[in-house]
Amino acid sequence: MKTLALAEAVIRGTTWLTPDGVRDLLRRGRLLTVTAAGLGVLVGLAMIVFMLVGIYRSLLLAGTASGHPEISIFYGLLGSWVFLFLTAIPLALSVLYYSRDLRLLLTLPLRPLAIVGAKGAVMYLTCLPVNAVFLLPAMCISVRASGITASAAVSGLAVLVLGPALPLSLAVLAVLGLVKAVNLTRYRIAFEAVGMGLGIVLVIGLQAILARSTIGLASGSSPQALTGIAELYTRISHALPPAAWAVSGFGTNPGVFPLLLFVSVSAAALAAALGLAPLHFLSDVMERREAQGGPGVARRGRSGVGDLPLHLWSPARGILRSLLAREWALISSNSTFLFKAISELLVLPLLLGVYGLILPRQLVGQAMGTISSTPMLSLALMGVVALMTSLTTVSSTSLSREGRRMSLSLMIPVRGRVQVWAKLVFHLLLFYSAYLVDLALGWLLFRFPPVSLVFMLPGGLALQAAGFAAGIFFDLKRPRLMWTHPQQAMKNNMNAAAGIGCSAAAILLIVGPFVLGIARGLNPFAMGCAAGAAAIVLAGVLLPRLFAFADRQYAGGIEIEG
Amino acid sequence: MIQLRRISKSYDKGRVQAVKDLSLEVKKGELFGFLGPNGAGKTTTIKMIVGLLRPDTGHVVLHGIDAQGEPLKAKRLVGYCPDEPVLYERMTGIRFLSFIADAYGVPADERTRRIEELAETFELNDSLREMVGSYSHGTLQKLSITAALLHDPDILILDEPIVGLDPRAAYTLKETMKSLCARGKTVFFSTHIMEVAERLCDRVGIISRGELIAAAPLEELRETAGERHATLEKLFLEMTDEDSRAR
Repeated sequence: MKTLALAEAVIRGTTWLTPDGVRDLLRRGRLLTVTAAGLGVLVGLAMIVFMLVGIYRSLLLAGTASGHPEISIFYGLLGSWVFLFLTAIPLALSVLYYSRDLRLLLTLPLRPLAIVGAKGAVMYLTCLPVNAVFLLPAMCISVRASGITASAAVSGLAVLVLGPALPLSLAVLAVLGLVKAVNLTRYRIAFEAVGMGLGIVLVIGLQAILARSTIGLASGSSPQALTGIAELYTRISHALPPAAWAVSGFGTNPGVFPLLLFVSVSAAALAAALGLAPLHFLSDVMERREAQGGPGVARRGRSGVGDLPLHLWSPARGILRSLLAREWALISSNSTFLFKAISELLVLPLLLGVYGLILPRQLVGQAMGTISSTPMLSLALMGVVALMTSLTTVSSTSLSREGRRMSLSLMIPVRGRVQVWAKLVFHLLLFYSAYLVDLALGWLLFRFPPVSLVFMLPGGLALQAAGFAAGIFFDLKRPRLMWTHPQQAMKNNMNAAAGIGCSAAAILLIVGPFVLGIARGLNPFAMGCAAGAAAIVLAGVLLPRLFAFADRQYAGGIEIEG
Repeated sequence: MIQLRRISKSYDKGRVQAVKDLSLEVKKGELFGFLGPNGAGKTTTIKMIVGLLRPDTGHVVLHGIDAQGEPLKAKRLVGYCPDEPVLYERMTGIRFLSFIADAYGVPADERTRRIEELAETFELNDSLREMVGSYSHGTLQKLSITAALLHDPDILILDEPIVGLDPRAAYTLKETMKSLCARGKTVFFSTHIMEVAERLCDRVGIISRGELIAAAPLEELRETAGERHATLEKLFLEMTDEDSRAR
């Protein structure tokens, strides 16, 4: 009973998914923002479902032909398990060991089982829709192809409801082991980085399966592809019987026994996690909190670097360098911010790598040949690379990211233009560097004429400055400072979408007409220079206005309430 | 000198009136305690003084400078320690102080001297090389106070500064506040601890439901109430009760 009440309290206390939460959003006029953000999530979901439907269709064709119609659901469940296991590790770490409500919960007369149970319930509820996203498209395709049977309905319901049990339990058990084995306070970001890396590998793998199976089927080489997929299915289902039991209801030989086995294994896994986790929960949490304790407790009397004179530690660096260090301190203060920035920096090389992996070599060669021979190569490359390196939330949420610490920025006697100038320099240090690296990559792949660098280097700089000015405007006007979760500051911040839209529009408006000019036969180099000059003019027009606006905003335009 | 000229502030599109038509003058060298029940408008008033909130109406004037008209000049005069320290947790304490010194333009040699002096005073020496994120609440508070004092401000504004400090640090802070006033600086602080206000302040102001209901030395408050030996706590409770009943 206490566990259920606690789970309800956690949901009510940390989300707006309750009538009170919706009323509060309405009262604060935030419903529109949340609806827009929800639409964004739906678009993302639609893209994932679209990708999955493509994969499942190909797999169903292969499965039906090889006598395994359950194959698409099997792979769906497998994808769901891998994804849930990878994401549940940081989730379990965060919910069990790093959530802020632990300070309160540990003082209440609650048994560890109640706390772990409540948090487990919240995690399970979080995993259910993810599991459904993986499985429902596969089920719909299967039902559409061969109709629905009683065994398929029961089996489907079981995997939808119990699907997350096994990966979530294993993730919790893995976390219990990690907490015992490693200093998590020290290596938390490393763990999250590994999880994120594996997640990217999974997405790339799915893309590769989609592309290769689609191309394979379309090119008439399906028999070999079908045999390979069916063989792989047989091997995996032998190695992972619970997955085979779970989808047996969709197969040619359904039975109650395999389904019962799946239900039993899921229940046993949940029981193991719920039974083991509370055993050491309190002591583990206490140890972690002690490891995070203040220097007054744990580190007093430390020698070594601490003996250096203060002036070596606090050199005067000038306000710009100090503000740049502040920007870095802000972005590295949270792994969510850091990973978002890194992934945005690497987006173009990552995309090139992915397409290099998933597309047939012959097709890549043809595409590169076509691109290299086009007269608009240099200018288009400048535009595309500038665009890709400007599609970033780093600058368009730069003020929001400061959160309550924005009060410090408003307190210090430093003009708004200086603070925004520091943000621009920080942006250029990150993204103009990325632009240069991407250009180098572009030269290696497409061999554009080196003379084009005459406009590509200054043009890119100006385009990024103009993109920055357009992108940061919304955040400067109304930063979202009162966030409780870092995702709200960067990923789920409407300023990010608005800023990216404006940056993209500014860059397309500058480069687009000159690309069209080349298409109509005008001299490519002259057009490139003209586009570079136009970019410089645009930056020259936007930046002074931005700085004047920043002065006004930092001098009272931005308020810190609460 | 701090002059608040008929300042008002409301939240939630005017539905909540946090501060109403508040006028107050705190002189140079004065130690002023700002008291009030929870939600009375203390922090809102303080945020308007330091420039974190803009008054809907009225003006904040610091040493003759209109804080809205010339915010940079006004900010240079002020050192502010908020009720909840908000610092950059991925900086070391010393790096944070260095950032603040850069922001206020404190020269290199002076900053080292000031940091050494203040770190010694508030016993921060062992913590300054550590990441701010690892600090206890009390150490964060000490660092926040040190940052507020680093540029030797003419006006020091503190919001609930004693909360979270250990007895030694609380004593040190109180002595520092007194010595600042002795040097002609103005100190304005809010507190719920009546004994501190009673012992420390030249004058106290009491705010209730957004309105300043009293601003006078303790003796004068006692005379007005007709209770020569009443404690500040008793006077505060009576005045805020009366104010609640009157509405």
